[in-house]
Amino acid sequence: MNTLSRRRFLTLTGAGIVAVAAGGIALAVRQFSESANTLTFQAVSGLPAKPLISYASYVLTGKIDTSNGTGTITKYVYAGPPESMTSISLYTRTVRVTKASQQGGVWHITGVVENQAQLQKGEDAVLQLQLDSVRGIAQASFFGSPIALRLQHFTAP
Amino acid sequence: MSSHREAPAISNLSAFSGVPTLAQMGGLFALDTLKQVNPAVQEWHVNLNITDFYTFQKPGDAGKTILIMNVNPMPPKLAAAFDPDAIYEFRIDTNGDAVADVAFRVTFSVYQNGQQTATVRRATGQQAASNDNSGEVIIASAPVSFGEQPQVTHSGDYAFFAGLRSDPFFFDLMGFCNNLKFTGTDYFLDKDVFGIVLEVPNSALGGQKVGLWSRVLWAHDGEVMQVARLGLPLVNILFNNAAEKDQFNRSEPAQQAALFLNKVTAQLENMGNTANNAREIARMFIPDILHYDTSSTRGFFNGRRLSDDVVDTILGLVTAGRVTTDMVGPHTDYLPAFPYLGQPH
Repeated sequence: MNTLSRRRFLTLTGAGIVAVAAGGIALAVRQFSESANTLTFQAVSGLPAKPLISYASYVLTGKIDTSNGTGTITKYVYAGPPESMTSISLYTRTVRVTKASQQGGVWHITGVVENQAQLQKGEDAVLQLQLDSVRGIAQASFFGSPIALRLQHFTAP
Repeated sequence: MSSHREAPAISNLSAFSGVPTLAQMGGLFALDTLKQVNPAVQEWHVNLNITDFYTFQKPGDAGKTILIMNVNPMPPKLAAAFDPDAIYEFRIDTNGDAVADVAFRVTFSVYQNGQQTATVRRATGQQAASNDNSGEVIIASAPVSFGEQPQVTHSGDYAFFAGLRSDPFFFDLMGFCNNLKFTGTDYFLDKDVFGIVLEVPNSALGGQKVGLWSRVLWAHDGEVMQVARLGLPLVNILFNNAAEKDQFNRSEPAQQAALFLNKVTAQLENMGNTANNAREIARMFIPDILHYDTSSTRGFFNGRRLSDDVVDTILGLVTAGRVTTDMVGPHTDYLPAFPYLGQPH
């Protein structure tokens, strides 16, 4: 179940999908071009949470210029739990970062969903995100519910 | 829902993983679709993936039954046709031993020039229990429908359809992901599937009170393996983790009590049920067989009609009544006549 590319769709369309396991995504984030003021991260959590069986993975990825508090965060829900996540996106939102500050080693980031016509009932237009690299945890919300995500990748100035 | 639905997108992150990327993916996985073929094969075809299975008395004709197996939740972009190396089966247990006594087997030709045809066989006895493509041909060279208009093939007392249709399933998927905090947003309202619809005389089922399930066999490197199965909705999703889903998909109903009953019982207790209730409910789901009395039009759990709100029924059971609805109702595009599945989007 931990095979990186165990789900591969090479069917009649000639198109392919492969599983994107945790390591693969972390590798991807490292590809971002980074400057001295750039914070990059990726955080993942299973959905729904225990005691339910996770059906999907909530993934937040971001690249933020901490010098001026700008950048972009993308929120995804991928089919498959974190241990066998696919690259099939069930939900995507792009968030424009409006503020980033650090307090006591924790980054506090605020952003706004860019295309608010996408928003569904109960969904937040504003993202409030905390990145605690020491504990390896990100705190955010999903449809109004607080959720803790595991930081898979984090680099900061 | 439709005005607020995002355009499905493949993650650009996969571009970094050094593997093929699907640039434009439309459609989405339906709920009960996280199935893989076989970890050893490390390959998975979406058109082998059963999304839902329905069985109901033919409206207006108590002497016939409608069987529907939906597969391929993201047509046509991930899979443009049925898999010619697969056998798509409706399986019927007539004596309560969780072994198939009757099987309807559907196979497809190679997809060429935008066309594909289907053959339907009916097997009984040892042939039905087997994993081969044995059985009497009851429908041959039936055209698969890839457009809006369904092409229906009639042969004797049978009618058959296979092809692209509207996904009849309804569910607030994001509410499920949000720990069962539902908002009534139907994630599947504008999704399509590949439907296999078979109308059969009740006599061909082998009994009045039967148990049914669907499965897909797939031939790969000379080996025929069971890669997907589904009787009741949601069972594999609600109770099994990723590794267990694979095992569940490969299992026969007669094996499932030994393999899964204790685990499902424990999961139901975790979800708030008493030990006694959890055991009782687990026995409703394991083995994963849809029971059906041909004389009844009652609907789920007596068979399953397209409009049956199976999500609400199952949510109430598994959560001990804490959650009784996802606030989503049936679609309005079901057809009143064969093949019953609505026009694709």
